[in-house]
Amino acid sequence: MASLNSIYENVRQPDAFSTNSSRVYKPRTAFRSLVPYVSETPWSNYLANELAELQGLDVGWDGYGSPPVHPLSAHHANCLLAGVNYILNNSINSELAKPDAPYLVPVSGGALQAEWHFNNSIIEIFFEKSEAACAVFYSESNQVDEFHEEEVLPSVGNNVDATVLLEWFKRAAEIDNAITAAA
Amino acid sequence: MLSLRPLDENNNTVPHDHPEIKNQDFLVRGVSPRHIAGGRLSKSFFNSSSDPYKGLSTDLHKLSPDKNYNNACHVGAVQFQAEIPRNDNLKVGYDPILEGPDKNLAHCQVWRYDGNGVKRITPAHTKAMCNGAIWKNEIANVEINRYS
Repeated sequence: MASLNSIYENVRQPDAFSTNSSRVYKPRTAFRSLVPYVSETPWSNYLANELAELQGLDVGWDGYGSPPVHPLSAHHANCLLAGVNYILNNSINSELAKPDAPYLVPVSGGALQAEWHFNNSIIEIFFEKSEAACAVFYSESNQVDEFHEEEVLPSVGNNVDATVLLEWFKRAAEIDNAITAAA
Repeated sequence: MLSLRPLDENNNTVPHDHPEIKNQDFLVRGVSPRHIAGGRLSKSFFNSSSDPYKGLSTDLHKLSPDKNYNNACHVGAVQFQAEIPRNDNLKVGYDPILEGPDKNLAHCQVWRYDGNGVKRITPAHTKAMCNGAIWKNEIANVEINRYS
């Protein structure tokens, strides 16, 4: 039986740098049901609801006979996005304002795509049942011409390598700030 | 209907470039409300499906010029000329759905297929189709997603 101390080690403690230091996030451990004061984040609720809805779409939702989002596509998306959410919440030295949860869009055939729309750039991650996710960053500004593409490997629990995504979130903010300053 | 297309042993249409689909012909794709994110058409709208040959479903306009894209599944439609995917080495072929609830004699597909087999349409391909697309049936307050 794990001690309470070992359980609490997995829980992010409120810190002075957080913009919302009262929020404590659910640890992804086998013992999380024993932690009485954790709360769901807006991302978590949103992801759970949206992914459930996308898996429940009618066959032919796209008008071309597509099945709903495949459970494995949704699982991969949930693992990665929950991990990114966790990392963002626990990056006490982050230079980032935490982005909103991404839009989740079904793709014909059972895949799905997560999208963040910033003022001047977009980040997209494509999830399919049997392949690593493909992430792209591109600028939509006439003043900045950037396009990046990376493979994001499936994740397990909190073992998410979100380095590329965090860099892209920062880059999106840099572009927005530079364009605002130049205006 | 166009002339016959190649079939595999499972009766699936094999990716091909159909000679009766001219470069200037328009391919139309109906927009589901699910394809709209934040007031724009998601680029995933132009992505491969997960069917055996990873095609992108479209309708050949010249075979269904009066098709209604305001129906139970669609709230509008976009179109692009066949030469746009072909210029990116994609194939545009004929894949009619001959029976069933999704019967569609104008159904075509865009494939990424070469001598080494089938691959997914890449972000660069979707970028090209997205940039070359125009509305057929415009959706109010929705933009077609465009790259810089």
